[in-house]
Amino acid sequence: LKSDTISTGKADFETSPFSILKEFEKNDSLANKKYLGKSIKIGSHVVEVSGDSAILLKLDGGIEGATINCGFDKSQKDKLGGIVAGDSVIVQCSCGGYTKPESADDLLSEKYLELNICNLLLHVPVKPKIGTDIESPKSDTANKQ
Amino acid sequence: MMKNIFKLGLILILFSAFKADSIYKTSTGSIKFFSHTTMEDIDATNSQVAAALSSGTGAVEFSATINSFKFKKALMEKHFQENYLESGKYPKSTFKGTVQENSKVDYTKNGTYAVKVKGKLTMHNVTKEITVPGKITIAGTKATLDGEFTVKLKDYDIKVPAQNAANVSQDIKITVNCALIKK
Repeated sequence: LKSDTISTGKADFETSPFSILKEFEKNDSLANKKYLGKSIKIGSHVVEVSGDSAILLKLDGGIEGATINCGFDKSQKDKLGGIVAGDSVIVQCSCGGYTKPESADDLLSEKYLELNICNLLLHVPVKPKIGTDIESPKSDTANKQ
Repeated sequence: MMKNIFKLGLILILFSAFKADSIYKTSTGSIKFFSHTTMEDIDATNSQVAAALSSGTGAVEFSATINSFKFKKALMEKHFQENYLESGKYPKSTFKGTVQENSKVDYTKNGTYAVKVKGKLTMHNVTKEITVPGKITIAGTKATLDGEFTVKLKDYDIKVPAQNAANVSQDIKITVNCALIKK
């Protein structure tokens, strides 16, 4: 079904942040018709990692003041654990839509494309981790007790 | 002399008011909804809710993308997003309001404050004024907003087809839990 395959099957669209955000900036309703609920494969630099119950990666939107907000299920927490701001990622997600402030005095002043049910396809760290290959696996003795 | 004291007092008041105005924000707030009928319980969660709060004015805003509500059943999710809420036409739901008696909330002191938030909820292109009882919990630089209220589907012109009417309640319980960080 949709939720199970959207982030793992063949993507409906492969695009760049700049291209897709320009489409939403140009004509929001037309872009909604084209992309809403569709699977999108996209890559960019990570701007921020946040979230407790679910994980959110904010990616550079390629246009000033805009980000691509990628929502991941908490079950992917371990997989996303090493990602920090500055890293590059490629993700495949379902498109939730574009949000921008309705008026200049809105408290919610951010512009972002919301993606959800995301799956991480590629992670390129900004700095290679040194020494991670010589770490001993953590003991799970405590869990077994 | 009195003039100077008055001026100094005014400056101090303005300064304290300015100092008190902080903006709290999140992009990972949570809104859940729950529908109960004798046939079926349905719940969905959106964990990508954007929310913002001004401690100075008590202004509060929420924005939730309809397609980010996740259901246990994929078919119900599709019905909800595409047919009932018509996310293709109306992709977002928003709330803009104000914390009533915001002056009673001490944003500098950890604690839980019972509040009411009054404002306009827009869903399915229909805007209604609502008042939501809730609480604000202050813990350092974090302000957590919790609230629970019920919306009637008919108030927002949301129609459930006859074949599913027995499974979906007309009264939907909405639960809000958003942890905002001081910016």
